[in-house]
Amino acid sequence: MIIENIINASVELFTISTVILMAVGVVAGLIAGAIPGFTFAMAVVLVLPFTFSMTPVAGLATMMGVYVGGLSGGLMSGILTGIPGTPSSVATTFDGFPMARNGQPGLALGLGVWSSFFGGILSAIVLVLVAPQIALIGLEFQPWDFFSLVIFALTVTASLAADNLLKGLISGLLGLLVATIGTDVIFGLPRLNFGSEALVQGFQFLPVLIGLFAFSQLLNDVRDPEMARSKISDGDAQSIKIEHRKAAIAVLKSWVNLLRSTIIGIFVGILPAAGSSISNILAYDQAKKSSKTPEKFGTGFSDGIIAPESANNATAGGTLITMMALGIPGDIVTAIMLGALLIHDVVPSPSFIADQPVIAYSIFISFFVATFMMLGLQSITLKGFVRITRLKMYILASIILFYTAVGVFALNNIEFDMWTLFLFGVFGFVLKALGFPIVPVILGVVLGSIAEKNLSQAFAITTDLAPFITRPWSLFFLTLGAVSIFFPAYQKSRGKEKWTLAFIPVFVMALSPSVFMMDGVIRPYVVAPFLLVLGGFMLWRRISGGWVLDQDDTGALVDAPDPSQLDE
Amino acid sequence: MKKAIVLSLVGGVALAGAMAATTDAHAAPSFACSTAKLIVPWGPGGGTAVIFGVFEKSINATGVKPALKVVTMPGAGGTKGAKAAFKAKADGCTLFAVHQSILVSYINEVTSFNWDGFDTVAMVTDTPEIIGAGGHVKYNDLKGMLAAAKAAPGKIPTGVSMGATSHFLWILLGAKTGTTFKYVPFQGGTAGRITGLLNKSIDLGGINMAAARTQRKDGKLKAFAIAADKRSNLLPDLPTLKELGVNMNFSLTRGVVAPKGTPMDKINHWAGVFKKATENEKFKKSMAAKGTSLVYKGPADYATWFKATNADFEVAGKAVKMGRYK
Repeated sequence: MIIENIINASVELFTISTVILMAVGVVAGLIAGAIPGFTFAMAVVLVLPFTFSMTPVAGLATMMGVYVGGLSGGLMSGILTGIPGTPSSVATTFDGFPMARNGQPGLALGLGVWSSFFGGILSAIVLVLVAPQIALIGLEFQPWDFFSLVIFALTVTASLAADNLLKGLISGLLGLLVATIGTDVIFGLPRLNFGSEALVQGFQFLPVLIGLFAFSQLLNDVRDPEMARSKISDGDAQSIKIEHRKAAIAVLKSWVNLLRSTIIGIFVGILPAAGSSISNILAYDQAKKSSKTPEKFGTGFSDGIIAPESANNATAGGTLITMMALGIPGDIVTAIMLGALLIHDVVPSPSFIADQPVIAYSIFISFFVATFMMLGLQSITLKGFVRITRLKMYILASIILFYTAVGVFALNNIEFDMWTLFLFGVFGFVLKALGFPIVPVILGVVLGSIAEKNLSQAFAITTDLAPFITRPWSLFFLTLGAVSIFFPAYQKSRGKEKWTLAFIPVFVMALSPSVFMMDGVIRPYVVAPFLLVLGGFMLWRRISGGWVLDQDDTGALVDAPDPSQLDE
Repeated sequence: MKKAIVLSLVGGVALAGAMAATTDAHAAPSFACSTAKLIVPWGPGGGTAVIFGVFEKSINATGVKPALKVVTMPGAGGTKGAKAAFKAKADGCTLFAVHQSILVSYINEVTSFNWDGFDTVAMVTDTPEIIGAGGHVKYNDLKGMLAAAKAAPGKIPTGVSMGATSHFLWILLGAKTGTTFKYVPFQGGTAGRITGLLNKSIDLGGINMAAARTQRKDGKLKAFAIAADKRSNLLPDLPTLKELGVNMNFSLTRGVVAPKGTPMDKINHWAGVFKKATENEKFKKSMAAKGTSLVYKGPADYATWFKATNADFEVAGKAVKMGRYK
């Protein structure tokens, strides 16, 4: 079955034109990821219009190229200039930049490239193995469960805003509000259109997304004449040679760190609404905590590059699992890919992988292929990156804006979409200037319509509220949601207040009842008791240890970034 | 599959010009345009856009002049494009792709015009609906399903696109058999509905040929009847509704209309162009595999068909007091 699908998908994928398109996508992603101020999400948006006229397989393969390239591109500027190219490479600069300044830029780049490669390949393997299984579980999800999953995703977005919880919440709610404009799901009646004919169909998702995300960022990059005329850098990195052999060996030597960071990356990716901007910092943090030589971190230590770079590429596999198996986007890029799939009449849902094996396996394979391409193309792109950084910002910004606008119009040939793009570009710019994070708005727009659809289906079946608690998956996600609401408080007081000692054990035990209610034998009779015992054991150990705070376990994550910057 | 309109429009126009110089099919009426627009009121990639995309390709390959260009104009359940087509100039340079949704929109008062607000050109394809159910339901045939529906009127959860053709399938069936169902909104179309059947959140729903052929084998879905005159040779064991004593057909029937007042010679020109396209054997075969047959009806026959179908829909709409029949 798997072999047959791989062969069928390969026939579609390995045409000369598709492979060339993928290579172009990887280069575009690498460059976009490398340029500070342009994120790879923008690059994915940018190639989107070009994929409309391609076959679904070619289009998605190209976007995968950009995704993988973009995740790896950020390390170039991070290591060479100390400015992370994308928020996914923030932690890479902690050790990458010092190592480059210590006279080993080639080794630093090599470590980044090879950890990206291994992280990507490992997570692609997990994706291929796990996504079909998750999809099978996804078939157990009824409207109530999907609704609770969205609630959980929204609590994650809010709690990621950490110190800025209120602004994060407001952003998310604004997104939900935008999602309600237009025709209602059940009766097809217009709402919040204020009598405007154009608003009856609501805002199209892609112009909203491109406006909020790309256009607002471009506006921000050229917000005053000085910035508009500035160049990204004057660096001359042309002479640097990436030290491939040495770096690859070094990465494989610290395989424990590689595996741990990859697992962190995949797990963060599977979580709805959390992406690589979180995983790279988490992985760096964990690598430092478990290292025998934590004091070396920050001075140009190889493990400090391996951890974030393998984690951010691994996140791609995780987010794709959630998107392909459940139709829920795990981050901004998969939200865009979801839109692209819809354009090609592919609707990800639990039956997607079974119904559309060629497209599903093309995504799997192109993830592998793009990761290999990234390895080969990085050295070439390094030269291109240096050239592009000499361009003035306003030239870059206007070229990019032109292409996005053409892309938005080409989608539906509706003039109003251009106004949507403009409106949301300005809206996003203003929000950002006032310190509101943009990502919750976008996730609110995407998740709002998913939540509404499922809630109306649930209520059409029964108006009883009980299924939200009696259905195991729904209860499971609501429990996770409750945990994630309290997570910022836990993180803040960890190692300072004693109640935090009970947090993790109680969390683990709380999941047990919902797992116990699930179908089958393994989950109710093996996993559920295990969770209960595990939680109890942790609690017992802490109690028998005298209920004292562990001195090493203090403080939040390293330099938790400003949430308004977490725009992948 | 054609998706990018703007990007390829330039190319299309250039191509049409080149073809005009080399071919002269027959004494066609003169058009004011070198490329005619065929407005598809649904999103690119949707069933209608895909089918007419194939028509576009095979029509333009014959070098006919003016060339045809599919323009997708989705929104508001297909009525956004309908309104644009309704207002377009009646010069044969704008055509409009329709199916039964135009009748449903009128009944639901979303549009002020019905099918007769346009001039019919040609009916081109026919996709019969299949009465489907999730593998988890207790009954195994239409008789059992109707008995269950009578035992629990308005209680069996049935996935439909509210106010769309997939909804009318059940309203019509209900009107013919004296049953009612509980409608659960699945606006995403067939794919979402099939997922709903698979995850047991709904019991009944219309399914498509592809799903009926693959998922029925392993017992995940059930199919009770096909709403066509004849059994499909892809599913020869599936009886028709008529065989089972329900006098009803229900297909998604796609065709082309033109703005009211389009000159007859231009309508006949396009009818001839589409007729020729439906006779392409390769096209026929690829469509048949998806459960769609190519059925050509000319301007007059198509109008007769619309009249009869509209009457059926009116009866059903009045029976459940929908939209303008409240």
